Amino acid sequence: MGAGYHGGFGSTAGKVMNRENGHVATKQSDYTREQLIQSIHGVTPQATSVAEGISERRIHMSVLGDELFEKYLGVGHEVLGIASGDKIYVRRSSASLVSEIIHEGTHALEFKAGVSQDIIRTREGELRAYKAEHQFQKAAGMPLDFANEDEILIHVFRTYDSLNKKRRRKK
Amino acid sequence: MKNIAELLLEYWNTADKSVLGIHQEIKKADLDAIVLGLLSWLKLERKREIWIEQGRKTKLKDMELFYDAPWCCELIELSQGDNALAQVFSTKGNRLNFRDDISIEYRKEARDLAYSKYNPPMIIS
Repeated sequence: MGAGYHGGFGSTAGKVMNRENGHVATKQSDYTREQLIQSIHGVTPQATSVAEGISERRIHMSVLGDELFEKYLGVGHEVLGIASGDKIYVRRSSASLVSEIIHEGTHALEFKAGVSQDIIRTREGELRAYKAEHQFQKAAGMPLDFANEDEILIHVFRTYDSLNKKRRRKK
Repeated sequence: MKNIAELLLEYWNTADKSVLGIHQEIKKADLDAIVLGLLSWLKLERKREIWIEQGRKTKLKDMELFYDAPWCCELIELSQGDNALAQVFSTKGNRLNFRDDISIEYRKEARDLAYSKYNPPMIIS
């Protein structure tokens, strides 16, 4: 189940693309499922919930190579992560892989808690996911996608319409 | 008699465990995970049927259970009890599949129902 369905967690030594700067870095991507869980557990309360969800296989995480990610999910290169019910899909090549997991994991946790998909998909749902990701980035000392929560608010309202028809995410 | 997939969907919509004939104490979070796990597996099995029809090299597979996941252990226990799940599924070690006495038609119907009716939308980020 979970990762095993769609490719799972190879230890691909691929190049990590720095999407913000538009170039390919030489950093190696070599994560196992356990390493990813450990890297997010305890960083923030939400990150711990996501880590426990993945650890107990209540959230099914697939970390995919770019080709499989785009082919299987039918999305373009600009999409970094997807949540569908209790499943999350992220790119192995993403420079912000761990914070993507927090974002998509937040959607999955809400689904598991019985929140309607119609509510999860709203701007408010996206806002919660972006804030969780932002708090994680701050706590982990990662580069921030947004300087503050006001920027997130502006981004979400510019990027998503009320029905979560996404246009483009800042990265 | 309702197909097990209908019962799983009914539970997901109502959170009423009695629709599955379950009367024992079980954490809601565990039963939720069991139901979603079964629906996902049935749906994937239907996809595999389609891939096989298209000539792709794949086959139907058991649902893999993990001993480190509490809900998987609960599912193993439920599959040995007296409830709707136990009437349809059996486990061998950490593998689950339909019981041997479940007809091919019933299995197909279960996969079809999960495939067509369990469709959480993709939230793209």
